[in-house]
Amino acid sequence: MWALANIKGRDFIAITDFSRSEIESLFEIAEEMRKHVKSATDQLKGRILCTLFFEPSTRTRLSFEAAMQRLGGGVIGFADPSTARVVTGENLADTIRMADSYSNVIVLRHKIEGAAKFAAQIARVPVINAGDGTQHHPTQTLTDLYTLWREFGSIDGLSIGILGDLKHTRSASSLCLGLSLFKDVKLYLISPKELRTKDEVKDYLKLKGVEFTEWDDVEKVIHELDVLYVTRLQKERMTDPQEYERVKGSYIVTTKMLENAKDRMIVMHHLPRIEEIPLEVDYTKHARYFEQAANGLPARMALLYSIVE
Amino acid sequence: MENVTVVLHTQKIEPVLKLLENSEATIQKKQQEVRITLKQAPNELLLKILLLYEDAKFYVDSEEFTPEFPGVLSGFMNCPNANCVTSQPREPVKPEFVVVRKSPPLLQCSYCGRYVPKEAITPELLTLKRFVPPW
Repeated sequence: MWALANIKGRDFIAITDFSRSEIESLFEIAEEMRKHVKSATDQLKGRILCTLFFEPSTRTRLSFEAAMQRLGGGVIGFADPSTARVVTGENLADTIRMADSYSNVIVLRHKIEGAAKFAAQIARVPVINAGDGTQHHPTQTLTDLYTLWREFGSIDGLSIGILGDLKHTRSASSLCLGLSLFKDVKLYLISPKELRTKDEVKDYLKLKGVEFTEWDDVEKVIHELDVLYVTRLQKERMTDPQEYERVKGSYIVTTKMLENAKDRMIVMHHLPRIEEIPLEVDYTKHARYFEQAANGLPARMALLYSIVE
Repeated sequence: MENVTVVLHTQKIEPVLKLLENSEATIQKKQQEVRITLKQAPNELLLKILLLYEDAKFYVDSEEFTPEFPGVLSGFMNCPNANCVTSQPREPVKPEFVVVRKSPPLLQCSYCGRYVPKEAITPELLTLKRFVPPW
């Protein structure tokens, strides 16, 4: 019998929708799911996942679809909204009403912030947020936390640097919120001044008593880190075209830089990476971003298995 | 509430005039203050005045009172974030804000999570012109 996370029928809009114990239960289930990432089970036979991706996706969409199929369920939906009636002006509410009537769970990615929360109010089936603008990306964070838990055995007490575009990257904001569920985590928020973590996120960290500091230069702190979580510049979310030009190339993690890192320090990235992690870093003992992406499959299998009724 | 007098310690009254466009109000300008007497003064209107003028004073029969300031403002105002779902005119959604701080006001949109500081609060933002679902 597989473990239970007691989240049946619930929406997953922000990582903080689940408690620490519920997230850790999902890790345990994900461990069992690892046996099935290349085979099939019939745990969700007859259930349908509807994927509505209004923004591009590679890992999130493919791993959700693979997860549902590995669990014996079916998948409907679209990866490109230009193939759906939204091009004629159909609103999100009506699209969600249809998806709700055709499926057992909806996975939604949208550039509009709050879209998933709104969809969850419309739908009777659970809604999983696969990213809404710059706000939340809870399943990326679930994957990230699962990767940390597998790597270190516990997330408590880790020193974690988050580097890059902390203003626009939803994976970075979500990770900050997710890490607040754990004890004695020390956060180093490293970015150009223009791309600092949003006040809303920093105030939440203060409220939860998370220790954090802000830095301009990763080289000043790399020796203190257990984890360096790198993000890419979110050019598509910058409202000022000059903003990208000003910060382009301002942070690159080099193999030389990694010489000062702890032996067991790992480099993570939500991917896709552009130029912030050169190819040669892939072949160092520190690189974990491909394992991290692969962990998205068992993590999302665990989530679907636990949520879908 | 009837015959409420609002005292503003400013001469910049364009914002409040915009808010009062559809209200029956008498306005008296004095050197240091502006006195506005409202015939009908729902709490929502008083709260909007308070969001624009945090030092506004409110009186009924010369007795000062404070408008009720709930922790959540629902269906009350627009979100300044154009990328928020509540800024999409064709979605049946009721804007909602959590009051983070009353003075100076700091609100947080329950949908997009963005802060709305005092500087962003304008009469236009406080005038909800959209369909709001009954739930």
